Amino acid sequence: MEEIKKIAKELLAENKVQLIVGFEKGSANKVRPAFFTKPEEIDQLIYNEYCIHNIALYLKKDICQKANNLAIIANPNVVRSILQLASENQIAEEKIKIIGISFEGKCVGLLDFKAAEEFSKTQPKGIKPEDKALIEKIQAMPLEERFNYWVEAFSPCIKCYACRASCPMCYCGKCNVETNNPQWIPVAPHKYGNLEWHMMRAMHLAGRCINCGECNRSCPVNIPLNILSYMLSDFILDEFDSEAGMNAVFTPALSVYTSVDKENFIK
Amino acid sequence: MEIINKLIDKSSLSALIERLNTSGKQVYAPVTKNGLCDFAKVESVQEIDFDSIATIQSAKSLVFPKVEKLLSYEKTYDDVIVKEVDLTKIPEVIAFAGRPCDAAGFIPLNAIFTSDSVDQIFKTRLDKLSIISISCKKADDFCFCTSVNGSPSNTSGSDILLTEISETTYYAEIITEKGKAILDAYADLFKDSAVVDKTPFVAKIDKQFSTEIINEKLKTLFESDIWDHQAMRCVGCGACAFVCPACGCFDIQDETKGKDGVRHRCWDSCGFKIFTMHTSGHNPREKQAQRWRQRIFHKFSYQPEQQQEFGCVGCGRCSRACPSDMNIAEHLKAIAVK
Repeated sequence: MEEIKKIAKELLAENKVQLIVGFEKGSANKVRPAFFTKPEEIDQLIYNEYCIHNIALYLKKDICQKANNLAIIANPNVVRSILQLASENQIAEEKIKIIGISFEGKCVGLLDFKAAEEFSKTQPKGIKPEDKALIEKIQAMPLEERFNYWVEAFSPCIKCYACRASCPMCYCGKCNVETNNPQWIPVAPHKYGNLEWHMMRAMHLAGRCINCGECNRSCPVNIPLNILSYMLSDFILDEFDSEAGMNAVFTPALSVYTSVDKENFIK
Repeated sequence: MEIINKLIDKSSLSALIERLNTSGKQVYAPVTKNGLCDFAKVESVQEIDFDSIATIQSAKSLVFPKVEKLLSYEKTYDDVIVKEVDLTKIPEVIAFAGRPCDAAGFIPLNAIFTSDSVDQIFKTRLDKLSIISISCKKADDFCFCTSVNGSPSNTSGSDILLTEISETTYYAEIITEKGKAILDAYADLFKDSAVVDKTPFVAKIDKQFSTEIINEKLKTLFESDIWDHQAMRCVGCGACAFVCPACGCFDIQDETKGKDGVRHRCWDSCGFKIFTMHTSGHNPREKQAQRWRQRIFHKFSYQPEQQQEFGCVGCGRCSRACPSDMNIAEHLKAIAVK
């Protein structure tokens, strides 16, 4: 942690960045996202095993958009989000300094995009064993049962949109669910409104989601949305050999036509 | 009505729940499923989680569900036939084993829905709801009811308040006519009691500020930079509003299929950008800081001025649910000393 603080302090002291996005102590035993603009504020900066939130989310918010340049305390999920955002032309390399931290909590120093790509590839991928067990259970279900599983899983959704608000890849200025002429997705949080919303969101994230799991962590009613996106990512990796969050120059599988596609039907 | 003091054995709760159910009432109580505690319909006392500090969501959905039908309509050749909701079909409900803050939440919510024009669907639901709450034996870091005129054994809003005074017994305060109706119907389950001092049996929650101070401070803070500062990490979701027992904002959605349609009321939140978006594209609350300021002003300035009720009961649900750890008590404390 001292190394992270040292780097952060220097970046601010030497005016290399205007803003640092990181963490500070939160309520009770929580940590919370925090924004630092002066070297002396860095004393409040913390990094520990609870700092798992994907703070890359803030890169598309006002506070970061207004800064000319900034640094971010980046665990591998944050690094992957940055690479994915870069590939979608949402963040420029010259604007951001990445203070990389491995999943084990080891600071790897400042990363440019090239180094970030390397770092991203060395870090473990995948999800928790209990989530894996649930995926296997879902995959073993016949189609109809699987469909009903998801209808049931989405039913407690209250449409607070914390999943969308906490997702670095959900940066659309106007979400499809807010388009009301015509109304594509029912706004009401009833059975089909919830199903259509989550299906739409999953499809828009397919091949772009970096599997940080923030959607699930932020959900007040704990819907396993991370599993849905993971299953899609896994499918896209298998079918298209395409994986989000690994390269700063990257075209998501569902946005590109290529003649060397594994599938034959489209040729 | 003057409070009637009674005792009820813990072992009698099972009979109470069963008999309420057999009488045709629907009983909702905190139930923990997959690690989450929320109000759910129960048929026996074994299903109830008496140990949780607070449910994730408040009890407000019993009177203000996340989505409900307001009316249905049918277009004919030259007319529209509107079918109102049949209010007689609204069931009698018991909110059981909620916390005093859950009960208190119905007061500002009622003010929202009934103080100018009376929302008949809401009013009928609330009329048909009886609230049997249980005083809090414990609190967590997010509880702050004592700072907003509540307490762990506050009777406001409850029809009956139970306070655990021994391993085997609850002290039962019968507070309202609705509570008395329950007492009269199941009188054999209750025993007479003198007034009991509840203090030794409930959680101690330090008072951090007062609603009067917040209300007074807000008079000069509309243009303050405190809102920018506090809302910096707010992600702009609606989790806080949706789990709040006192948030009553809603959206109206018509869903038409062919010639028939349904008009729904769904929860809405002032934290959403789209909440104040005009058709022109102009948004009078274009920044998240302005939306956060609205949340605090509505609860601590507009509601008390217009409806004589503060819109916060200190349950701490918003802070527990917030994905970016916006802690309302901490923010209010900062406002109190600004």
